[in-house]
Amino acid sequence: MMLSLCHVETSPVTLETLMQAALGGDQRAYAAVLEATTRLLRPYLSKRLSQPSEVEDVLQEILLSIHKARHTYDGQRPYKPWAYAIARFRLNDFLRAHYSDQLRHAADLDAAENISAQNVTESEFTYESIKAEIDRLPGKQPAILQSLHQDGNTAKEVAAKMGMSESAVKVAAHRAYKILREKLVNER
Amino acid sequence: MSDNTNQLIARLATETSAVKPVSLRALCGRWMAGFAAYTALLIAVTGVSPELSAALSRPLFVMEIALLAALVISAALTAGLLSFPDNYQYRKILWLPLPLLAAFIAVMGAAWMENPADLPHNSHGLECLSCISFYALIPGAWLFWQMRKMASTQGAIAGAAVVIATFSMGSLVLRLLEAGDSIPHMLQWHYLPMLVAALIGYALGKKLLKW
Repeated sequence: MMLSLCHVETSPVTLETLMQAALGGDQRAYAAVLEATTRLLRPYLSKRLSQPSEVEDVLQEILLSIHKARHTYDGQRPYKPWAYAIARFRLNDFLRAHYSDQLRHAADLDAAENISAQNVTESEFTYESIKAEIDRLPGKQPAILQSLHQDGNTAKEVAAKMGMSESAVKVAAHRAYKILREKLVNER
Repeated sequence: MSDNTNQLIARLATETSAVKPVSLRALCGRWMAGFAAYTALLIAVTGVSPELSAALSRPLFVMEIALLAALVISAALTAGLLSFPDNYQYRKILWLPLPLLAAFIAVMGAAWMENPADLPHNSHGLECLSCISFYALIPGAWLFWQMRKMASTQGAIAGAAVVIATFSMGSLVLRLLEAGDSIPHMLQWHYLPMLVAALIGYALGKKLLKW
């Protein structure tokens, strides 16, 4: 028995065609586009943000922005540059707001004079008990705290090893303790 | 994928409905038609200079008018492109106003060199500036209102482009009314204030075009 094969022509499913369908009101196509966009953007954001929670926050902001701005995409041009433009825009918004918050709450560098007198090698928690939280700190803070508490170096020795000034090490340690204190107090 | 993100995607997909996408051609076409109608209305109301027909025989005057019109169109096109998050992926056209502006400056320089003894007439300088600003107000407000419905990722530059387009349009209308005035006067009261206006547009765009 001969089987006749029906030659079915299907148009390739791309993000562009899915988005066009979504603009027509196709909810499944829209969900597929948003899921694909999430898979695209998560690695992009992970390289630029230190905390997984921040990555999820910014990702959700981007998805909301894509939803709000979807009428500006007509499917006649590639989808990814459009999505990435929105992603960059929201990421820059987040970084601007995030760093201005950090500056507002950061210790005044003039106050480093007072911090210098404090002994930054002692704290109320042990290093081992909060290592997981320490590893989640931004920038050089985890390395500084490891050097101070696990390796037993003084602030001056840490500064020499890391190519920083002693007061910068003390300010970074002070900020790290502040972040840790807030996190650990909130968890209690 | 986190649960929250999954839930958000599900919610957005459920809430979505058919949306008519905006194309660059439709957006800019609408704006150009609006500008043309408004300019025609203004000229009908203000009239033109009785010296216009004589002025049109001067090549530099014709180039000045043509370049002003080109500046209106190119700045409006730039504003249109900047209304889309990805600039409609036509990034090179964004910079079109700049060479036109350079050509305009060259033409004005050449026109001034034709009559170097020409001194600025400041008797109605502020009046000219006020007229241009007044002419630019309605189309400027309209363009900002239209762009607020879009999604610009460069709101400040888009605002500057809007003001350059509408200020150029106001200057064009007034130039047809003042066909025979001095070039230094034009530069001081008609064209140089465009730079200040662009800065105001930059600040307005930063505030008004957020989304």
